[in-house]
Amino acid sequence: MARSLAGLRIRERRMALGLTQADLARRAGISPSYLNLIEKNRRAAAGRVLLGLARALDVAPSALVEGPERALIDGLAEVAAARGADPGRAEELVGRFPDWARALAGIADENRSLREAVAALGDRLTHDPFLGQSVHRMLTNLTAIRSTTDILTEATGLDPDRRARFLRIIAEETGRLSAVVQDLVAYFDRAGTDPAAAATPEEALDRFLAAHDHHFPGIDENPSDPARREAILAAAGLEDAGARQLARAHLDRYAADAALMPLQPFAGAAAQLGHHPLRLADAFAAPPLAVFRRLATLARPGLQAPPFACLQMTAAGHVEMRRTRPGLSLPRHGTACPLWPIFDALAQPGLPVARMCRLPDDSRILALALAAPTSPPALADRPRLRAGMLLLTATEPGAEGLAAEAEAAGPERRVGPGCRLCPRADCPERAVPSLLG
Amino acid sequence: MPRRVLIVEDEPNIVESLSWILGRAGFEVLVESDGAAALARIAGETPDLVILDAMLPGRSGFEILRDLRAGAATARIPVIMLTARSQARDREMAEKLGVDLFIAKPFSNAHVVETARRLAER
Repeated sequence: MARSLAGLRIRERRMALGLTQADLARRAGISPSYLNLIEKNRRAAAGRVLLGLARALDVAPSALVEGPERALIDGLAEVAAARGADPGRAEELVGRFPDWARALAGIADENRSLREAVAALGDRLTHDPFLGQSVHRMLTNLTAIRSTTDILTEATGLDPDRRARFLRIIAEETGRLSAVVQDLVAYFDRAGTDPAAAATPEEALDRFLAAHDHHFPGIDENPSDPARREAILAAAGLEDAGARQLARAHLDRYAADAALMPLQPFAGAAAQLGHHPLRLADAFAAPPLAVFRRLATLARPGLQAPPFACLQMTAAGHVEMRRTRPGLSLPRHGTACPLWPIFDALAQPGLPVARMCRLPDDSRILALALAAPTSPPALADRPRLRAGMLLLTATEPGAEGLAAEAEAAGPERRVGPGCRLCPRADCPERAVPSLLG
Repeated sequence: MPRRVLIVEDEPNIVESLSWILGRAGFEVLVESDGAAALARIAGETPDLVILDAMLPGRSGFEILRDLRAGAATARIPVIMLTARSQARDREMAEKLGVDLFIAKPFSNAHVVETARRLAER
């Protein structure tokens, strides 16, 4: 499908230059009949033939092809840029050595997936609250069982009521211990057979949201109808009660955001206001953190918008909402890189922080963060704070105004994926050694 | 006159077995399950020994220990800390705050009773 344009493009360019098929074929070093087949899309122009035609037509090979080859060229250009090679020669590599180019792109993809898997597993082992809580629960159950068993075996002359009471405690604690162990077995079963499988409620929520690509057209159509949310939840098949609770809270928040910022008007205003969250907050009289969330779920089939990533957390670092994008993975548990502007924002609630950031792979990220109270003011207590951060790969179009503000706000910030996966040896914020050596 | 021990622990089944073994060993047993209430109880009743769980609702065992050691009337009360977390850094923190003994869960009854007797007699 994508290739069908190549023949047409070659023919148009040839005619614009006033060349006959014979002229072009000679210059490109192929036979006129072969060129004829290419122009009629009966043969694909690739490799050396494509390079020859492009040279003869005085255009870049990429101008003649679309689709898979274009994606391959772009992918390899990214790899080259990250490794200090010349991204401009990606086209030549694809043209001259298409098999090797595809192999290299495949290795780069695999490498990216492996890094993401390492990030997910490292995250799980070091910070997984489920594992920590399970061990604590087991030790508590075992303590009660051991102590009570000691009493029953050593004490003589226990009255029958007391003995029955201690036996009940053992039965009760044994039951609880079995439940913890069963949960742990299920956890490792799922994690062992499929590393991507949900082993915690947070992971299950991530998978549920990923399956919907983070948007719910049914709720957008009618945000005030709770039945729509229930139908989505029922269809999600989330077995774990904790995961269902997280998913319900997420959908309720999505519905509230959708009611405040209906999809079509919001999309129109967003395009008009350069996807600038603070201007949109003003236009819709909406809390800025709600606008962050709405922007992060805006891009979808049939609706052009920059692919924002988004993170929302409590002041203690508990992540409540997390929308990642390829190449922009955000930690699920606490311990993110403390240099991300979201932590600047927490130190100065109410004050937006825009910054250009640079990841260790050299990609540049536009970040806007804000911390805001989510409870009404009270004399007796401090407000409950939530911080949000909106992220966008700097090469993505559509948010130029915000990008310019971030550039002007201060020097670029060197950030990372969190200490354990960050290769920067010289970082003054390093808290634990890197797994990457 | 029996020695008085205050157990500060929020797991009722552990409280029940501890109360029983210490009661049988001749102690008068007091119980508190909330960290925040424990300090007031200690100040009011000045027990001969406190058995303190590290993780409590209200205030953590470490905070209670710190405040106990800072109060003139409570600074010398012996404290045994029970914890399900036996990492070196918890132990170090408890020792720095002036704990008399640190016992990891699950504990042996005999060890708890023997230690409680020794500390309460001091």
